[in-house]
Amino acid sequence: MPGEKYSGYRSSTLNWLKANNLEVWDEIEIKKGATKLKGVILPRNELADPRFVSIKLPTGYNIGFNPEDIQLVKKYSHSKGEYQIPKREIIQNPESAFIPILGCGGTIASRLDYQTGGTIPALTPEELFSSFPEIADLARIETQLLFDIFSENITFTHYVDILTAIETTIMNKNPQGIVLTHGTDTMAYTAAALTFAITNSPIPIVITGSQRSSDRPSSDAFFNLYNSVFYATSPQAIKGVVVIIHEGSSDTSSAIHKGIRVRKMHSSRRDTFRTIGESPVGRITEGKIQYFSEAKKYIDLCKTKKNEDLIISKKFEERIGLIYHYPGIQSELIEHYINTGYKGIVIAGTGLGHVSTYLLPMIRKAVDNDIIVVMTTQCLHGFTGLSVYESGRLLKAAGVIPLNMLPEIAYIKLAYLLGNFHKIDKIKKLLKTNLKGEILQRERFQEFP
Amino acid sequence: MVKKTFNYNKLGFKAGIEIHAQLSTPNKLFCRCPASLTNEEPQDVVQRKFRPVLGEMGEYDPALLIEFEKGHTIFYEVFDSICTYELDETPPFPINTDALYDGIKLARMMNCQIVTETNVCRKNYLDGSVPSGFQRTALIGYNGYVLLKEIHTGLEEKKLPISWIYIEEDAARKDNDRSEDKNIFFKLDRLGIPLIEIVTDHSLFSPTEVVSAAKTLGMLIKSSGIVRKGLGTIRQDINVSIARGDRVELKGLQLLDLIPKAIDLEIQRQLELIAIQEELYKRKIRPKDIQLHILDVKEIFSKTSSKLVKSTLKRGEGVYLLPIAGFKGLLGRELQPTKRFGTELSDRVKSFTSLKGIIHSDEELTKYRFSEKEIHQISQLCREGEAYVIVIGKKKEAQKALTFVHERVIAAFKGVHPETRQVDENGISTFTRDLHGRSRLYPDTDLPPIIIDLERVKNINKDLPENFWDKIQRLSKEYSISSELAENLIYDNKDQVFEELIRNGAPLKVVLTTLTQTLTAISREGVDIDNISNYHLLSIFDAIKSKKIAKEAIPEILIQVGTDPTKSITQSINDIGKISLKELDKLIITLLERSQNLVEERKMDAFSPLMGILMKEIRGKIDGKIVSEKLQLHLEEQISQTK
Repeated sequence: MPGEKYSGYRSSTLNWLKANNLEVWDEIEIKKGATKLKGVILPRNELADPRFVSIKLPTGYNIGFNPEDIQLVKKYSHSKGEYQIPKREIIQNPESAFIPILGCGGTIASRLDYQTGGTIPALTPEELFSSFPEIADLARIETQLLFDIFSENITFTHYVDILTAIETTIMNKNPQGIVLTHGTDTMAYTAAALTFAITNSPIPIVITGSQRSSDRPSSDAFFNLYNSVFYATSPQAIKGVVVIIHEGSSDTSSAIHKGIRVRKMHSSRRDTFRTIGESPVGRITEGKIQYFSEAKKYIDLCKTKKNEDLIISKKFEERIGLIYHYPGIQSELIEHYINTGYKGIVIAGTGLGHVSTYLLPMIRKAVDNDIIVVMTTQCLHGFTGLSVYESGRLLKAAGVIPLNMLPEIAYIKLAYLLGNFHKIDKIKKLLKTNLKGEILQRERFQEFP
Repeated sequence: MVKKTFNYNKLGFKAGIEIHAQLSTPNKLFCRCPASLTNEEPQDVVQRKFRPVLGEMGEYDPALLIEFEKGHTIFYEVFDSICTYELDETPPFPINTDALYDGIKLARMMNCQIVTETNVCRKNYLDGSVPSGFQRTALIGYNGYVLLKEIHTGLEEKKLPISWIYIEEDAARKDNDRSEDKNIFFKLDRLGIPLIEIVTDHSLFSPTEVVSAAKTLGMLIKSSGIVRKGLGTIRQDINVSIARGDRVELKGLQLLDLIPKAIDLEIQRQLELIAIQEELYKRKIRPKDIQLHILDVKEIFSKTSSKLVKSTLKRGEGVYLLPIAGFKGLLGRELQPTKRFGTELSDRVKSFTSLKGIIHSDEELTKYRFSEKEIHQISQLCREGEAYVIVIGKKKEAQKALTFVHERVIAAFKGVHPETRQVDENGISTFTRDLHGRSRLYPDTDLPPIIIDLERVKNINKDLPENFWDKIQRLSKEYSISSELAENLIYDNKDQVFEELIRNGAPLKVVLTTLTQTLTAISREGVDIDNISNYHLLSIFDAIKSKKIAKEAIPEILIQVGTDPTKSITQSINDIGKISLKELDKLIITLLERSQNLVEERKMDAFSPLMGILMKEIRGKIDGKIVSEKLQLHLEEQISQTK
């Protein structure tokens, strides 16, 4: 590694910098033909073309030059631009609701590093309040950065960290609600893990994120965070886990989703999250919470509890496979899971929940090896039905359990159940039990977009 | 009117130009949507709010902060022709390389160095004109020059340095019909059309030089053949300053003729502001003497007969006053015709708040129907030499307005305030915003650096179009046409087809009439002449050459092709139809029968009116010369018969 002095430079440009006694943040003047240009040498992305040196011109524009094309005229000073967060006095109203914000990384908690063009974490209270001072009108805020990673890197150990933080926060600080900021990519998995693992939550636990980082004037981070904090302070809030995020592309309303039927459905839109097969729980529009009629059952599930009733299970079985069925799939795939000691397999089957018939022997072998095999549909919408066609009936006979859950939610549920229960029959029974509203029981006509 | 003529040299007058021109690529810069405007009704409307973001040094750009303070809600009109990129719902696609290298071609035509690797940067805008909140822009060329020449003589006047050339995406266009108060509507069709920005250095030392530069740059851009034509496709801003003043950006100077007047009026404005600065010094007033001390004066107006104030108080709003030490008489000082220093304050308030303006002590207050008693009571609140500003409205909004008034008054101690101003058709300008600082430019992390293909640049270099001023000279010599005509041909991008037509043996006069007059005429009638390609023109003249049609048919065929570009020239010719000599004879005989009286009365003098009637009917279907000969014969015959 060339180190910070030559951050990101390699081969010929690294040699050129060293030979000319230059390093990153030096202000230089270069000459090409009769033309002179001044600029500050910038750190360079390690994956970018190694032939160029990046500079920032006095106009603020960045360009790259090839040292072979130019003459170095002069080295001026060394002028590292330090990004400073403005000192802003935070006046918190001691009377207002206390809402801790737990940071789990992701776009919402990241901002651009102007010098490198990379992203840096941004969830200090200073940063939060200087960017979003209006939050202070809603609640007394405390921030805690649990980890700063993009959500594709989140694993079960992170779920345990989050659960531990939630537990100690509730027990020691008695907050009115908790807001969790999280990357959107795997937010639905985390939401499901928390929903299954937390029973009798005395407070609302809101998960939110953003699709545009907070260094952009159009960022959805503020809108999502503001409505999440607002919801967490509301006496109307459901005591349990919800996901709150843009309902549509407009900055007008947020959807409230339950944590176990929600899915990221668009790679980049603000309104990427959709509750599948049901309506969301409700929406927030300009400081008003509206619950949809379909959500009544879920609200009932989350009746007010005392702190003492709170149960948090922090165990997950990590050896669960999630198989997406496709034409030509090989049975070795399943065999691998059997041989490596997996405890559960979720299949996202085609249509009503089908797989190619030639997989049946291997599936039977898995069941015989005490692996719990469950079937969901890769259509996402609609129910599984293993009694309609012969191939379905064969799967059922082989011991496959059909579930009317989203494949990812079934995966998390299985990890949770296998982590906390040991008798196979009990686990199978609980799989089919609608523990937190994860099982689709009734699909209204209008729910398919 | 401008008060006097200025000695620009002595004033230290300096100006530079920024020109924006849309490139004519079929697609947009960062997505694959068509680069064209639409008249459709929007299919959907998306509503957004913007927030200022911290700049590189952890500070907010003050101009952006003010934009945020306005509290606008932005509405985007969505059309079939736009995608999720324009709505800031999808990251950018790789840059449109056709547009990029067209831009590089223009940069080479202006003798610029080309960057070898460029980074797309983000330029923040909070007015809603870009849904992402920033415009994507990249430097492509620097340190070039353009020779300013007297176009018709080709004599060199000056070498104008070109500092920077950028390629960027155009912003959305405001829908003024729907926008009102704090709800601003934008049409997303223009957003993302590739745009070239050319920035000259500040070495234009007189309005004449500015006009010459604007004209030359405009011609050079248009003659490049890579830019879009039509209203609003090329926009220029002029940066003006005098030695004791500061940089002011004048926008809306599309007409070259208006430039000298607008510049003189801006010089006058800067001189007046400097005079105010000097007067403050003379009066021994200092910024600290002017406190932001706002008085609530609604009590004075409790029994007012001023409708304006009465209705305000009824709504529960208030009347607020800011005394301004030492400014008595200065608020009424005229900076430009109809623009007093008080107007500057008022324009700011209008721009930054929802209030309609201010009332100040150097105005005729009776026009607001204030009573003598009220005016007296107000003046009692102020000390000797103090001026005052009154605003009427909600408390919070009024305080905000007076804070802006206070800021601007304090800035008067520095003379000229750097800002952007919109020029009207009389050359008079109105404040639009403060100049943006540097904190609003930063790298775009969505796109990797772009390495310029040097081989492609080499090929561009080999194939650069002839300089338009040389071309004017050449065309006028080679074809013995006036330099004005040559200039028009180049300006309309018709120089190439002109030369090709002449080479093919088309008659010069007909070609010129067609290219410079007929096209303009039918365009005025509403025909879209952009549909008429060079190929169409060449085919028409081929048809004339082979006597398939007469030259009189040109306008009719052009109208047909312009209206329906899918139609071929052959089809158009068939549609117009042709007349055989036999049919012509028949037509003339019928006409003469109908016009016996006329012929008897006027004899051979009846020729002209008869020819007129005939040509109206059969223009283009047969050569006019033949018609004229035939009519002559028939007419003579008829006259001799009646004798």
